[in-house]
Amino acid sequence: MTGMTLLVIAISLTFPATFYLALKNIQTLSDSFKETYAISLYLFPQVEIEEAEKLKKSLSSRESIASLKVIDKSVAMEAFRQRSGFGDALGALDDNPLPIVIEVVPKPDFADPDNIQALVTELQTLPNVEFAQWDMQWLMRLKELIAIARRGALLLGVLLSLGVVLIVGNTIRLELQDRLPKIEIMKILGATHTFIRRPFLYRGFWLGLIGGIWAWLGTLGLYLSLTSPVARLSDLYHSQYSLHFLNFWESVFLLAFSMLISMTGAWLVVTRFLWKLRP
Amino acid sequence: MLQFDDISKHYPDSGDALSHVSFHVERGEMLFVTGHSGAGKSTLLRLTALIERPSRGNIFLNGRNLANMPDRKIPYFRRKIGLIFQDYRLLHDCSVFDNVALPLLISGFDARETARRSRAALGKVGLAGFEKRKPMSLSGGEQQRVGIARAIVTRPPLILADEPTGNLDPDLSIEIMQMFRQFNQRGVTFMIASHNAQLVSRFADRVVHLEKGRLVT
Ligand SMILES: Nc1ncnc2c1ncn2[C@@H]1O[C@H](COP(=O)(O)OP(=O)(O)OP(=O)(O)O)[C@@H](O)[C@H]1O
Ligand SMILES: [Mg+2]
Repeated sequence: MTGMTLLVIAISLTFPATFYLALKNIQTLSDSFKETYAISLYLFPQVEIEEAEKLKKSLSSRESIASLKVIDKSVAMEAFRQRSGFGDALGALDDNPLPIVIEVVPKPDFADPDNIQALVTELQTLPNVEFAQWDMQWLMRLKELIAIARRGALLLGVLLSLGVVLIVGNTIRLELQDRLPKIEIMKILGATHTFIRRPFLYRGFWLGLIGGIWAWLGTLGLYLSLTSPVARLSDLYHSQYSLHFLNFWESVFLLAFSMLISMTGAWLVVTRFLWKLRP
Repeated sequence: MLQFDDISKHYPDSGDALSHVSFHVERGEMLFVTGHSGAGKSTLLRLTALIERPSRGNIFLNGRNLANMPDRKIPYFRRKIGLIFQDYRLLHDCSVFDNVALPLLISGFDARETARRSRAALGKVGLAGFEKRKPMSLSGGEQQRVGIARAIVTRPPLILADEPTGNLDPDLSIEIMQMFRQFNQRGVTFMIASHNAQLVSRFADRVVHLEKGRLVT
């Protein structure tokens, strides 16, 4: 019975902990993209560098814009050559087919999706601009999704915690029924409810602590099983991204929370049980 | 010390166990309650220990009306009385020592004092050396003596005993009663339910006789 209870506690808490961990990692990942909130203004191919600089100057006075950078054709070409692996084929071209690009980074406090979209539409209409592109729309959507998922995780956590309260309560109830004669004798000898309740609270404490440790280990197991595929994926994208596990305080919170809800379950059941017992 | 004032106890499934019982127990007295089986002796003791509440009437302990005692104060009240039960009420998964030590543990005595007093109480009932045994492995009389040791271990001023010698042979019964008498001489008040006429006539200061829940004098 104890093993079963511990398992249920562990599983009930592994779910929200893992969910939380996943969200935390996605959040860190999306934060690492922050500097790439930039809008790229692709100028017409025939536009020369002087005109591009002029455009940059005219834009720099805008309040919504944090920084601007002109990327010349040759620089863009070099970057493309290095990244794409089409180096030789590109060398065969006489003319540089790439346009000048101006990178516009909006001010962070301005960077919500609606504002940026409005800015993009406006920049699009400027002379010399062929088109404006903002390819971080998905990032904004991701942020919204994270917010929703976080609410979902919270709800899941609350429900599963209630489950823990119930399962611990049920375990303690069975033990109480087992020890009813003993409890009655203790009451007759003058034991207070606090005295009778104490060992059951300890029981709840240990169930919570051990169940919490199991949940921590379960979360660690899931985490470890994901680190190497993620590392490989990250390598593939030349990214330094790596997964983070629960930090010290998050781990402490998991254990403390597990003990708290488990003791709550024990306390509720014992108190109700003693209350129904005749004095 | 104890005063019963027009006590009645009605059980839904068996009718009146006690009706209109009034008497009192003097401090330092050794009072016996007698009567046939089913007369209401155990019921009277249960009401006194507040294990049950009377249907009618009041019980006063040192002038204090027990009917007014709130449930949360009952534990502290019970620590001041020693209870000996007809069916012993021992914990069968605990050793003899742990059984006797339990009231001290409940009252918050430290381990050393608990051990000292428990051993002394077991010695007094002639069970020295039985500490590690389990109640199940003891004879009825030995279990009864464990119950007595548990009742006297806190040195309560009032002891309520329900057939304390019901399972003991005559010699041992007399020994136990003599022990009670010794406590009594040191000021402990006893209220003992018994139908052992010999013991009653030899040890009772006073007798209260019940017949079908009514007091007969
Ligand atoms: N919990 C109970 N519920 C219903 N009836 C009860 C209960 N306890 C006692 N009675 C009834 O009350 C009456 C008195 O019982 P009690 O146990 O006080 O008798 P007693 O004098 O102690 O008898 P004995 O000498 O056999 O121990 C009996 O008729 C019994 O059936
Ligand atoms: Mg009886």
